[in-house]
Amino acid sequence: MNSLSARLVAAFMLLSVVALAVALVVTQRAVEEAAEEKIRADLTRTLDAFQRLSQAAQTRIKDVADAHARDRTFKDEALRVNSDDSAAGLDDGDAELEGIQSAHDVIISADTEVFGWIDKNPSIWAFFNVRKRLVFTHGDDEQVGKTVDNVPLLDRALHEGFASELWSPAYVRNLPFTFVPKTCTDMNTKECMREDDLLLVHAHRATTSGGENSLEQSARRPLGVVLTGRWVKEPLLENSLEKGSSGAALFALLAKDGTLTTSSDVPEQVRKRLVESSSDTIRPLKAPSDGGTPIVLENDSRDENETDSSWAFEVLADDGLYLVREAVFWDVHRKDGKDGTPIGRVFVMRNLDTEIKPILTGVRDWMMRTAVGVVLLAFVLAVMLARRLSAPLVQLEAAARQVRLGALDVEVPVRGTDEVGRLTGAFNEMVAGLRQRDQIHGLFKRYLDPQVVDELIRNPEKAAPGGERRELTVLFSDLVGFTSMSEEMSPEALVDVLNGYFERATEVLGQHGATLDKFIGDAIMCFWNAPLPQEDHAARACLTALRLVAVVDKLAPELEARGVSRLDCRIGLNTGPGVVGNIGSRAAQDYTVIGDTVNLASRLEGAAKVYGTRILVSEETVRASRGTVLARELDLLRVKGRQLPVRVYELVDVAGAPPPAHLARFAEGLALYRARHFTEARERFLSSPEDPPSRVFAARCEALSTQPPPEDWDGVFSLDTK
Amino acid sequence: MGRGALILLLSLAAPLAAAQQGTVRGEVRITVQGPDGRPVLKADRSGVVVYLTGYTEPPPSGEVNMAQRNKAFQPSVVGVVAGQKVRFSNNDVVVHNVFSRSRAGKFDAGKNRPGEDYTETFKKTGLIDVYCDIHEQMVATLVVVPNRAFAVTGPDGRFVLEGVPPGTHPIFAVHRRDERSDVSRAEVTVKPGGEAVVTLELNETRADDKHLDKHGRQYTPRSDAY
Repeated sequence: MNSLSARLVAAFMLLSVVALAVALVVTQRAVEEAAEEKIRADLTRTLDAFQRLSQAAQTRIKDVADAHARDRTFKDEALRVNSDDSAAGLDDGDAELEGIQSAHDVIISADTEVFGWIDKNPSIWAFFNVRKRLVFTHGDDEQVGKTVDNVPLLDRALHEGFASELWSPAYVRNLPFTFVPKTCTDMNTKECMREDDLLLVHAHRATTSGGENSLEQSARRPLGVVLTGRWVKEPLLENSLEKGSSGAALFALLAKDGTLTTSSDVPEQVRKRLVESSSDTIRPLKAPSDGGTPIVLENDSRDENETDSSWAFEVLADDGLYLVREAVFWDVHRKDGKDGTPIGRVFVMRNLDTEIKPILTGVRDWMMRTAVGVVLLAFVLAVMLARRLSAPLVQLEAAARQVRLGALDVEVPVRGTDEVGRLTGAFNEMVAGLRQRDQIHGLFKRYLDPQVVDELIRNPEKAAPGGERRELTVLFSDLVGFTSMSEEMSPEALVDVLNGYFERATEVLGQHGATLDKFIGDAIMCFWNAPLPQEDHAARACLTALRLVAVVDKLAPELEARGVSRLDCRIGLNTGPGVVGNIGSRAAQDYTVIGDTVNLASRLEGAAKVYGTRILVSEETVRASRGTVLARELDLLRVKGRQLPVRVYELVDVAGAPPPAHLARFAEGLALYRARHFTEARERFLSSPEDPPSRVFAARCEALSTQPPPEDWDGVFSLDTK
Repeated sequence: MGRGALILLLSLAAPLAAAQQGTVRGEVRITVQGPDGRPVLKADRSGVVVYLTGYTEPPPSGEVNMAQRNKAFQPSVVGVVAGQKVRFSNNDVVVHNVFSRSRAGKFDAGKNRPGEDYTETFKKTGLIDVYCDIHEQMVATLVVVPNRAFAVTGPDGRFVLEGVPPGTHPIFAVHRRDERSDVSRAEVTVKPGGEAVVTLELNETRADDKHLDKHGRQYTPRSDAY
């Protein structure tokens, strides 16, 4: 595996591991929150269930007490413990005591449920007569007959009929009578003092029978108060624990004097917090200020929460965060729709940390196992992907090597449209470009200056593809005296001379941006304005012609020195429309120009011989050169194969050069010639014997003056030779 | 031991104190259930014993009379100061019996022929229900009170208690006979030589007027019960 694949795999693996780590953290957090949410909701439900259970339990206790109080044997005894004499203020000290004592004896001897015996065990139970004199308790028999004051519950029960309170062990111990036996005997282990518990005490007013309907309520006379005590921990807290679906919930009950009992081990910090949480909302238990007024919970800040609502808080203990839900602990709700009396606070709490931990551990185990699998899968995928990615790159590399070695026909197959695919496409395009450049080079390097070829390669759109019709200036050049020269020289020397000439001529052509069409023996054909457009193509052609003449002029003396006869050249120039392009078969193509313009240029080159000039230019070219050269009108010429005459000029020099004196005389002569004054014209022409055209025209005038032309002579000279 | 001396002292001081004793005057209102079930005031408010407690006085030397006439006790409610004697006279034409099972004064007079008397001394304070063992319908109540400040109301329900020592005393109203009501309790403060006014409210309920005979058994119809 090469390094790119390795890096890809490494990156992929890193990515997957990071993603998994993030997923792990996120999932853990989500699970944590969900679990917490559920536990909170469960807490509320558990608390509601507890409240219902406690209401049911209390109602049951109340109903049992009610039923017992209705019992006939109980009433018989209860009637005896109240003396009318006492009610009438006429008791002289023992009027009631007698009845109380005998009732006490009966209760002791009758171990029935009515008198507080449950399964042969005494329950926590006490009975008072209407004047709060103790008739019976399982505690101290010595206290029978004693008047018990300062127990608000008794007053409330006498006043209201039924009342409940939660008593702490301390409160029970401080009662003015012995409600719960201080020492446990074998017989009453269940009902002796418990230190970490709370006693739920119901006080129930017993009445005479009769007056079952409300109209006759007043007919029932109170007989006394029955106190029933139940340690709450076992029946309420621990039963709730079993019945509640949430296993780990802890319960706590707080009495009004700030004593807390809990279902199981609750850390000290939490206990403290629970007690504190209620200390500001619950007033400690105290005696009513005037007899019989029930105690009301001081709860100004939570008036709207007085009913069954609850509120939550959290306590951070050493062994975790405890979520706590707190509510008022009510006594039995009365039947006439009024709320019950708050008798304490109930708390349900769950240790969030210990509960969430196993869930989280489970999730983490599962996640870890999954993560390992995913990482393995990711590794396999990464290797496969890296291979897939790197394979075309390897292919590209091989192709590039081939290209370096010159094989431009390589093409890498493109797979897909991704970056690698595009790179492959670009590589293919690059190779194609190289191929095209090679083709252009091969195509034009023979005709064009290398700079022009480069320009064409850079801007291939500038090259006219196929045949294109456009304005061109065509130049034909021919060496005069070459035939005789070939006879005088060895072929090797001839080639040497020719190559020297072509070398310089080609240089001149290149300097002026000519497109070399072909060499035909000693002749050169070239043109301008193609393949690249050239605005000043005519001027360039004229200057090239002048330079070529200069080349020949320079070459001639060298050859003469080598014993070769005088070398001269003739040049024809024409400007006009032509078709330019790659013409030929696919195997043998030439970038060339065809058309009448070319023919005329060739004719003009031949016609130059007739006038004895070197450069013969058509009128079109002179006009298109826009005064860059000095030209002399020579004649109106009808060449072979063309009906229309062409006005032809001799290219004399570049513009601005001093014109020779014979030019003006020739012009005068030409004008006289055209006006058929051949004799005068001849004299004019004869005055410039150094000028070949003048000599040609002088001869023509002489002929015409002896043999005048027809009347419709238009001054056009027809040339029948090529 | 010192009780005799105290009584002596009190009796000596009595004329002196009499000038400073006050009076309690008042009215008893009795609420009964009307025919529609709503409470109404009872017109006849007689037979309510109103008394003070909290101090004792020696009983008057005279006896209290309760006659049996037309198979009824007359009067059917009397107040008695503890230690006072009550004479039950058979002024009827049939044989009567007088008995009580009440704790404060259990007694049984046996059979009294017309014209015969029976005298019983009641030493303990308390409510004493008096019946005839022969005639179940005969019901009377003795209220044995600790002092002489007591009164039995007439039909207008008004009462006056005289010779009350200054101070605050519990005042009770007890309505017995064949209608029973709660005991009404109040407190009254008497200033030296002053008069205190108090209204006592009684709530009369339908009575459980069944009672047992002197043996604690139900009365049985008998041929000689006329």
